[in-house]
Amino acid sequence: MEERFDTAQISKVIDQALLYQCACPAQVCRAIFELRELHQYQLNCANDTANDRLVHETIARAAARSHELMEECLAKILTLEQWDMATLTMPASLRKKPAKTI
Amino acid sequence: MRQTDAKLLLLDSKHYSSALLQEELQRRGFASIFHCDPSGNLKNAVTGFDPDVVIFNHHYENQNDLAVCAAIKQLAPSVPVVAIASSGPAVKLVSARARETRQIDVVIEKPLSDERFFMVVGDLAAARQSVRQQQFHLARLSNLVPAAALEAMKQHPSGEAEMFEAAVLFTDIRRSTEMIASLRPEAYFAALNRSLSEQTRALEARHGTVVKYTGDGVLAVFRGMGRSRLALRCAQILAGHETQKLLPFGVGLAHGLILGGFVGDFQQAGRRSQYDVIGSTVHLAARLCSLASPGEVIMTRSLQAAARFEFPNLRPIGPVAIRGFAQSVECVAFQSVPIN
Repeated sequence: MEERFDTAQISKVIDQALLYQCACPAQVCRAIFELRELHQYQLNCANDTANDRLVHETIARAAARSHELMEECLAKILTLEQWDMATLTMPASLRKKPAKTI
Repeated sequence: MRQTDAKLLLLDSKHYSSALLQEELQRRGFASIFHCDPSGNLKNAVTGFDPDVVIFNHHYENQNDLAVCAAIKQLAPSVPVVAIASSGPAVKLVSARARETRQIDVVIEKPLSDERFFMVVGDLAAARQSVRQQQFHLARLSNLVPAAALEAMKQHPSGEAEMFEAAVLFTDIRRSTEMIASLRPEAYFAALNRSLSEQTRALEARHGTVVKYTGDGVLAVFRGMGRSRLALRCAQILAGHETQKLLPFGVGLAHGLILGGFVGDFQQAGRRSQYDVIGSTVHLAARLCSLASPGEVIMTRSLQAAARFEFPNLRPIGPVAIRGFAQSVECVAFQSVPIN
C-alpha cells in the first residue's frame, strides 16, 4: 500500500488540529491511521484455508483503496483550508478560530 | 462551568497549542494554569507552582519530550500526569510508555473531540485536592496528638496497654502561679509555648517521645538501648537551655518499668481517650521534678549509674523520702546554670 503522507506528517496535522472536531483534517488523519492498521493486520493474519486468504486479501484491498481515497481527501482539504503544503503548517486564520465545536 | 482553584501545570513545546489548551481549560473553570516548555526549568515549575495535575501535550515530532514525564514523577510522585497524543503511532507510543514506566497516569487521544479530556483533568484535580485537604487536616490533628500516642496507635491498633522499660523525664515551670499573675495571659502563653517547643525539639533530637504536655511542663519517655544516657543528656541540655531565662523550670528523671496505653472512654466512638503512661517510675520522676529548683535536674542514683554519665557538679542529695514509696530513694542532682 502506497503512502503519500508519512506518520510524522499526519501526526503533525493532528497535533496542530488539537481541539477541532468539525471539518477537521485531523479526523481524516485518524481514519488514515486506522486504515493503515487494518491493512497491516490483514497482511499478518493467519491463512489456514484458501478461503481465509481470500477474505484477508479482500479486506486488505478494500483498506488500500479506502486509504488512497482518504489520503487524496486529506490533500484536498489541506489545500482548501490553505495549509502550507510544504511544511504542513496550519494557516493562521484557522488558529484564531474559536473552539466552539466541542 | 464552576470555577475551581485547582492548579494545572501545562507542559507543551508549542506556543500555539498551549495557548489554545489554556483558553479551553479556562473556559471550563480552571483559573490557575502554569505553562512550561518541557525543556524548561521543570524543578522550579513543580516545586514553585505545586500543581494538582500535570498535563503533557505530546507532539510526535518531539519524541524526546516524553522524558519529561519521568522528571515530573521524580519531582512530584503523587501528582497525576495526563498525556495527550495524536491518534495513530503517537498515542500507541505514549500508551506503551505509560504501561511500562507508570510515569503517565492517563493517556488521551488527539484531536480532543469530546469532553473526556476536560472531565478527566477535573476529576483528577478534585481527587488531588481532596487528598491535600485530608493531609492538611491530618497534619493539624497529628500536631494535637502526642507523638507517643501516634506510635502506640501504630504498634497497638486495638488499643491494648503495654508494659515496658523506660527512662521518664518530667519538666515543670517553677513559680508558674506567680508568673501567670505577673504577666499578661497572652505573654505567658507565648513564653510557655516557646519553652515547650524548645523542650520538645531537644527531647526529639535525643529520641525522647513526648507523652503529654502537663500544663506547665512535659512528660516524656525514652525507650530502647541507651535510654538512661539519652534522657540524662537531654536533661542536662534542658537544664542549661536559654529558655530557662524565660520561664525557669526543673527536671526530674527516673527509670524502670512503666505501663503505657490509652486511658479514658475509648469503648465508644466519639468518646474521649488519651495516651498516658502510669506506674511508680512515672510517679517518682514527677516527684523528683517537683523538688528540683529552676535549672536543676534531680534523678535517681540508679539512673545516673545506668547512664554512666559523670558531671563535675553532680552532687548526692542522699536518700529522698518520697510519699507513697516504702523506702527512701537514693538521688543525685546537678544545677546546670545558676538561675537568678
